[in-house]
Amino acid sequence: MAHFSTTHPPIFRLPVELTLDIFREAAQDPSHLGTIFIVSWVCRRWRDIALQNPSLWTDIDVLIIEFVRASLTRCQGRPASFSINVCEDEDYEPYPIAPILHSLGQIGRLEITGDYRGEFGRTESTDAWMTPAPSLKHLRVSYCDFPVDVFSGVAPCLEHLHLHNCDFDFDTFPRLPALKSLHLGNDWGWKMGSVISARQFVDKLQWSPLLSTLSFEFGLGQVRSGEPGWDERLLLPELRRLSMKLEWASGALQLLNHITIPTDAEIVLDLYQDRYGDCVLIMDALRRCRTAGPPVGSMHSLQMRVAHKEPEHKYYLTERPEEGEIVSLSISFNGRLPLELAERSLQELRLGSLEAFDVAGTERIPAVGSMFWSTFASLPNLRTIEVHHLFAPSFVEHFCLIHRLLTRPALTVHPDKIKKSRPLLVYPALQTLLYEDFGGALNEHVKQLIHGLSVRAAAGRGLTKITVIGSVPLDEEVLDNLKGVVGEVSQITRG
Amino acid sequence: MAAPATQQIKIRCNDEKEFTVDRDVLERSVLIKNMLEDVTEQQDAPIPLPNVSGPVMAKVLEYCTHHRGEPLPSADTEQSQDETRKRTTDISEWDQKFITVDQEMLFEIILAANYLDIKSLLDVGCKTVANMIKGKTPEEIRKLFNIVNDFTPEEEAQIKKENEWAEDR
Repeated sequence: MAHFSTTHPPIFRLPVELTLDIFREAAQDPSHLGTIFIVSWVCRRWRDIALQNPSLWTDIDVLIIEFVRASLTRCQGRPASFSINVCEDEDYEPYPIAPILHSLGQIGRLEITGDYRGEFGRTESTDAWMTPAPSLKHLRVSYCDFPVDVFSGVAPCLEHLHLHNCDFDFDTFPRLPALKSLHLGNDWGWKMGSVISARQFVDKLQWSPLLSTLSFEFGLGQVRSGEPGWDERLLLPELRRLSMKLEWASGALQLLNHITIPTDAEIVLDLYQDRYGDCVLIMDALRRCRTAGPPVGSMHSLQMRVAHKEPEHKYYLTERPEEGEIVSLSISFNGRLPLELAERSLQELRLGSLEAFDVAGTERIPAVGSMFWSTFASLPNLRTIEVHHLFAPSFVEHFCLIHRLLTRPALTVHPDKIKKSRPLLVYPALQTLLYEDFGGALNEHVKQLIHGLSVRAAAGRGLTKITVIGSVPLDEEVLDNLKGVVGEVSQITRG
Repeated sequence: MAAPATQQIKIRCNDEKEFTVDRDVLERSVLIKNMLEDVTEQQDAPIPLPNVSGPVMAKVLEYCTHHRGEPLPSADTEQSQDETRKRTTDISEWDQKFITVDQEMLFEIILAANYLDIKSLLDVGCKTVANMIKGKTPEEIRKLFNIVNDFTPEEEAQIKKENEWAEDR
């Protein structure tokens, strides 16, 4: 390269594209934000290189509004991409963001993360937000009071809208005809001004027929209950993924009852709920919200996690997504579940691989029970059964339930013959039995259990572990006797 | 069983300086790798490299020898590497020592890496220059690279006014 003139400094030997690479490299460092401006101030050659390449100015993480304004003047009309993070600025003063808003016409992608006090954007006038934004396709705003309504008519190309921890009234949600993905969410504990009703949802999103991704994540937010007699459904023909993370299952129900989505759309629900009745109602709504509904149990993409509120509890209903087979089922009865629906839901569930079953009963168990018992009696892989006895009126009824659970439906058993029955025998794979009895006669009941044939017979077939949960400790003698039958016995005493 | 002998390749620089180098070392250069793949028969004639001088090639070969055996960036990984480059200006300790040379040599190495298509070496060179620029004022940069301020006083005043907010950033 000896042909270069020696009158030039060595760095001038680099061709323009390498000089630009160096400028880009230097500009990427957020601690040296002004570097890109500094290099354009060094000499005419570098200034020309910087200003003649708008790509240098179009994709920058920024903290400073002046930087945005100065960058926009150098973009030469190309749609720019900006990410503004106020939270990272230690010397935070609410920035006037009007310069950005007045430049919306040039911005293709805008991400704004406001401050945790939610003050960012509050000082801006509505006029500032109303700048036409014909190039804007991506808008992501967090922690910002965001008057979303102003985008009606000014952002005709907006395809992706992500609003997280933003205080706005859903009544003002704009018509966004190009919208393809929408996220509305807030963190746990974050105030949420927006309480959505299913009717608002239908009214607002009917103008966005191209929606393919819809995500709701409301920590403590709510979805209002539906209006009696109103039964419209919003058709979302392009929807590929629906994701809802809600505290109350009833909110998901409200939305699901008023949308129609393609059969193969992926649905991910993350709901905090402990009532089987709601769970079944949601599954019914899921089935009905599809343009052509396969049985819920065969939807491979369904990930339903309806959990107890206490994190140490098992998931209420867990479906193995990759196989569509339920391996663990935990049921807690409640009074709101119509029996027909319960029966149908059970038929739709693919329980062939069920390995664990956990039931907490109420006095309704006998009424609902028979349909479950007849189903579970034919499951070859069922290895763990837990029966909670919190509300059953007596040990006899409780033991009867265990018996009915473990007995083929054809076998008729009377409570007075329980001791002589052999219910556990029908489950050769049974390995674990959890016996829960909070009555004062726990020791007496366990003695009956030991002296009955069923435990001994089951132990001979594979039952190796019994856990006894009660409010009084087992007597040593009873405990020893139980160990003599089953081998591994543990007890949990609660108050 | 003895390992197969590594093929030796001859190259000739623009100052007639010749090097005989193991093929896998030379193949860090995508340009030479492609040249070698295009040649089907064994050639004794050295490969001419008219854009690189002997001393610069010696430094480049030092780099290639140190990094021999490391995976070359494929077309698939280039994009993710670009992403990574955005986030880090880290240079390994050995590379930092290697690139601690005078400016004449530094820019010659960058040009040679660009010509020979050795992406990782080009990255090291560009990052080094970027690190030299960061945090400096325009005047400090001019002094560092021996650049003459060719703005008129009026132009400079205007630019200063535009960019004064950036001076302390």
